[in-house]
Amino acid sequence: MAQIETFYGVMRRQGITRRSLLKYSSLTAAALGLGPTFAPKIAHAMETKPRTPVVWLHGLECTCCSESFIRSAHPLVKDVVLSMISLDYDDTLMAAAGHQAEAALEHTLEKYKGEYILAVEGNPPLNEDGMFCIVGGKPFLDQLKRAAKDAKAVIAWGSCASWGCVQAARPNPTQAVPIHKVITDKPIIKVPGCPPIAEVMTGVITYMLTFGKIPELDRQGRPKMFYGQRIHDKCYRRPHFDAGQFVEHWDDENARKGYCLYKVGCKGPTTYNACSTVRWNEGTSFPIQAGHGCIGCSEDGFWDKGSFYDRLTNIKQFGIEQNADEIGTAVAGGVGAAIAAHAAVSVIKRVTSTSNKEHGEQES
Amino acid sequence: MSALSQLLQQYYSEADERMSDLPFYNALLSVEMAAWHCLDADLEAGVLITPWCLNLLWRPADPDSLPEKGSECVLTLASGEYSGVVAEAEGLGRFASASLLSDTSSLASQEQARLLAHEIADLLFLPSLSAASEEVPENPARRAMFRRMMGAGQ
Repeated sequence: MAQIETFYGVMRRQGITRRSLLKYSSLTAAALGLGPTFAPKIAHAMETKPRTPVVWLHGLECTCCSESFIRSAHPLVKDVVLSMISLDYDDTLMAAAGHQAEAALEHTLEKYKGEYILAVEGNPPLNEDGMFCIVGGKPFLDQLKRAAKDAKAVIAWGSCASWGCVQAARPNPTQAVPIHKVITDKPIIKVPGCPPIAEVMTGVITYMLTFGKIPELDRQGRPKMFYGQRIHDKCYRRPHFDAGQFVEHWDDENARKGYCLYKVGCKGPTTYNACSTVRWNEGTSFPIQAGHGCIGCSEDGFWDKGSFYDRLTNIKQFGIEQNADEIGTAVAGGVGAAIAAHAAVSVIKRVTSTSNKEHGEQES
Repeated sequence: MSALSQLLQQYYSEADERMSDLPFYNALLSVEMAAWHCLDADLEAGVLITPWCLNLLWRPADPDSLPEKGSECVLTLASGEYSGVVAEAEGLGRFASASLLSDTSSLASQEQARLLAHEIADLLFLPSLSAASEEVPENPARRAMFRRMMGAGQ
């Protein structure tokens, strides 16, 4: 492997003190849903491990993922994480342009062959041999395949790279596809959302860079630590749902009382994301708190699932992954104390406070 | 069953009709406070079964000690810390609720739901109940005397 600096070396060079590093480690531990005892482990890893280069490619997309990423809530997070990322190539954030930029990409891919993480924002169109998205005079499809070939791992930023998103919605004239349709021989960490939450993006990338491994994923390839629960499960309006109190029409009396938005189209019951816990804009709010239902932007094919304002009539329609709720099946499969006891443990993990989680424990 | 648990069960029973035509509703289940404990003088908690969810509910003796409706709150027990959301109902005031199950469709009977609820309640509450019983000193006056001698409580 090429000789590269440690994270800490890079941070020191940028004027980040050890005190700030420790603060960052605590913030990251919290963002990752790990217990506070995990912070020293993060700090130690960052002080001693070599920096892993990240190459960030852009296909068919709107750059909302980049916009989200560079607006991480805490300035320190943004500074530290950006210092971790090799800006040798990111056509939105890098200083270079034109041939110089393309040369930088090739140089990075060669120098860190097999060691870099490939982060992909957007997706490739397959129609007309990829001609609907050209980067540096060549189809993005070719650039993606080239960069993926020697990548250690691949991150799919946002719903475009993860599922296809709006450009893959029917009738999909460019035949845009999620990146897993093109990259089939590498682990892909999907971080869906339109865009994903900034702290989720920095949390995922920090975990990978710090610990040198991918976080635990669900069956759809999403990090369980952020996508392990439905928005509905931790929604601040949930008590109104449980009590059968719903907004029936926009701006009715129930809307003013802050009742549940399910009947006006909220997709929170079928959407796996961290919006109701991490929230947006420094944890200030999220769509439901602003009075609009969740549109399910982190779920596969959400553009083709009907109006944002139609209520869900089939709660399986978004292809809910059975994870925590599998316990119900376990109980139904055989009524026995042992099975119920096992199921009960799974259920309790869902409500266990983050600050109380064991060392390194993640959502299950 | 305490008066509070009965009031809570009544509150959710009243929601049953409003929920019955929604896809979340499992007609094989009914509203039932499957477990309820007075954990100490300051706290009551239990596990509620409804046809649309399984919830952990709790309320301190002073409901106003909970933050305002919609806020996150944490229940601290001997078995761990559990996060939920503050609810508020007319006639009940504030209480806290945490979703244990959002999808009850795989529960095939009330008996199965009850079995699960009891297992959850045992895991959550038994350590607190055991600790409370162990904390009763054989001779409180003697313990208080030693505490004074050691300067505790000053």
